[in-house]
Amino acid sequence: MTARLRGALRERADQVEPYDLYRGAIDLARRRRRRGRILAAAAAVLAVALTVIVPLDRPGQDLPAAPPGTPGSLPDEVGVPLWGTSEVEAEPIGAASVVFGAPDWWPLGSKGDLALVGAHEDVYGISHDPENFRYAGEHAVLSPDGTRLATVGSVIDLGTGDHTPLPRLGADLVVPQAWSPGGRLLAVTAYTTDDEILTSASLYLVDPGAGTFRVIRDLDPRTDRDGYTVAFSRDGGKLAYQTGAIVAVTTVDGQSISRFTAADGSHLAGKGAWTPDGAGLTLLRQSRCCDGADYPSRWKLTMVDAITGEERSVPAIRELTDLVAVRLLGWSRTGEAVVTASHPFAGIDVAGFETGGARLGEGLTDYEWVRKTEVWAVSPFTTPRTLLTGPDLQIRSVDVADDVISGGLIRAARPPSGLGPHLRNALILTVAGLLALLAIRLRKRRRGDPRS
Amino acid sequence: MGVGEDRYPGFRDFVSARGPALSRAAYLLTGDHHAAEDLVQSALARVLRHWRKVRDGDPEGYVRRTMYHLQMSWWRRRRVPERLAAAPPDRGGPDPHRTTALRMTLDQALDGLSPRQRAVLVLRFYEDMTEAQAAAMLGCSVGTVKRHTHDALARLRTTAPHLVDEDRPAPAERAVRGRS
Repeated sequence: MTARLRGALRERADQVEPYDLYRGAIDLARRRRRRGRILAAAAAVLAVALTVIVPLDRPGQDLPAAPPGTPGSLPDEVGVPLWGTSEVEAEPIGAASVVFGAPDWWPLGSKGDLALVGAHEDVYGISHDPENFRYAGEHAVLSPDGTRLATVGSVIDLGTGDHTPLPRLGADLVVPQAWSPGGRLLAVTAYTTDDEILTSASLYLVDPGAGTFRVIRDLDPRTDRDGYTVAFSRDGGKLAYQTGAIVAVTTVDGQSISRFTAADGSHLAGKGAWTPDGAGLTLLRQSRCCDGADYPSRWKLTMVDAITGEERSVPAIRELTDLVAVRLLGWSRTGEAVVTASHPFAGIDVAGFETGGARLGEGLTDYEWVRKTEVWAVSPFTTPRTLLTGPDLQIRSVDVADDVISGGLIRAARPPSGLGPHLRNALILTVAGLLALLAIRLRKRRRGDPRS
Repeated sequence: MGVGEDRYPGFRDFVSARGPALSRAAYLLTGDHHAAEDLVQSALARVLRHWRKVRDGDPEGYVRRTMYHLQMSWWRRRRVPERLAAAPPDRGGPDPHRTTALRMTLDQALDGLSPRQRAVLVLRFYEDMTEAQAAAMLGCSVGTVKRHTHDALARLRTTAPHLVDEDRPAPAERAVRGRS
């Protein structure tokens, strides 16, 4: 049945004259050898370049500016935490000087994440909470010594990685606001919500270690602004808080000391609102000024008497311009106010304390407005001094441990660089796969198997 | 003595002795003289990598296996460039009418097959290999060889039935009968 096919194939093949094969094969083999050498050299150069240009993780563990046991120091710069940086529960960092946040660090985003930087060296750790989009300093606050991070619903021990749940307080969200100077008490706002809309808010003092709590008073959820609600006096005996336009001072036992109306829409300036002498409070006042400015808003820190609310006759700190938000963290050793300075995105409308606030995270510090947040030292007589900065868009909210602020030590930072665990593992897997492939091919080649 | 002789002793003799047979098989596999030459040279270049080990064994078997694998490789088929020639290459010998007609129908019929079907057909009906030998050469199962053989013959029955159906006259024979 196939005899004719066989015959036709032979007949066709017999008409083929032999090709000139020898020289062509030799030349081809030589070209392929040369190409292989070039590829191997290119791979070697690439490997060396990768090693030199993209070093593996350099967590910046050198240059400790402060020996262990001292309050710690503030890095003068932070960087994007490497993708895959360990969570503090898995690899506790001991004590932190800074916690900061931004929504877009990694390919999959970082909305549930905050980065912590070690108190003495640039070791980074991550606090991950998939349920809450937290802003540093507003929903996550470092204890004065930096050994604990109070966050929504719990306190994380940065030395052990353990979580201590905060009392539920009959609320849907328990949001930390400020630590007492000794680190024993934590002021929190207990929110009830309806479909994420904040429906009620109450100020509590909580002792996380003992699990006890005391209600201070109900707040107005429409005007309450996380991070600006409450401040402890330096001796830890008094508490100032604001609800609506009313500023009140009580003892930590809840006994009222004074109350007054904050003038001109001013607001308690932050957790560092008590003046260093313990007699005054610092309020933050915004003025919409001036026409033609890139961002027509100015912030002024004013000091008022903690009892009467009358403005004190102290040298005024110059107005801060072109900032969407300012928050007072504390006071340096030399009497400068240490503030967060949030730079706005270009072209946004001016935001203020009246902006948003119906949901957690809404308000003048919303990441929607904030391009970058720095830490500045400001005084009546000098231009603001930048204490901490970071890459644009990569540091949008920040909190600094109180002891680091008052200690005043700044260190030359070495932000993380390199690939990070996730990219490094991917690279290692890729290289291992390529090496395995190469080994298989070489083995086949040694055995002399033909390959297609 | 050239570089090739120094580096690959015996290779020139091997090519001189087996080159014609390899050329013929390569042409049947590709249906194009340039592609066939390129295919054999590529296979020979590969055997040169292991020449010292292979030369005392079965270098022709290695080259043939490589040729068949290369021809079925999608990547190689994709990269073999088409060459424009001033005139169609014709290396055939005497070309009477019948031979020409047979050649044309065979070429067209083989061109209609997939590379695997074509390789199986060449192995089975030109190289006279058994199904098991063809399977070993192609690195596949006997069942696969059977399937490709069946599919290839079925296709030939459609495109060139006289090649596989002994009862049918070839086009040249039909033409001769018609004239007589």
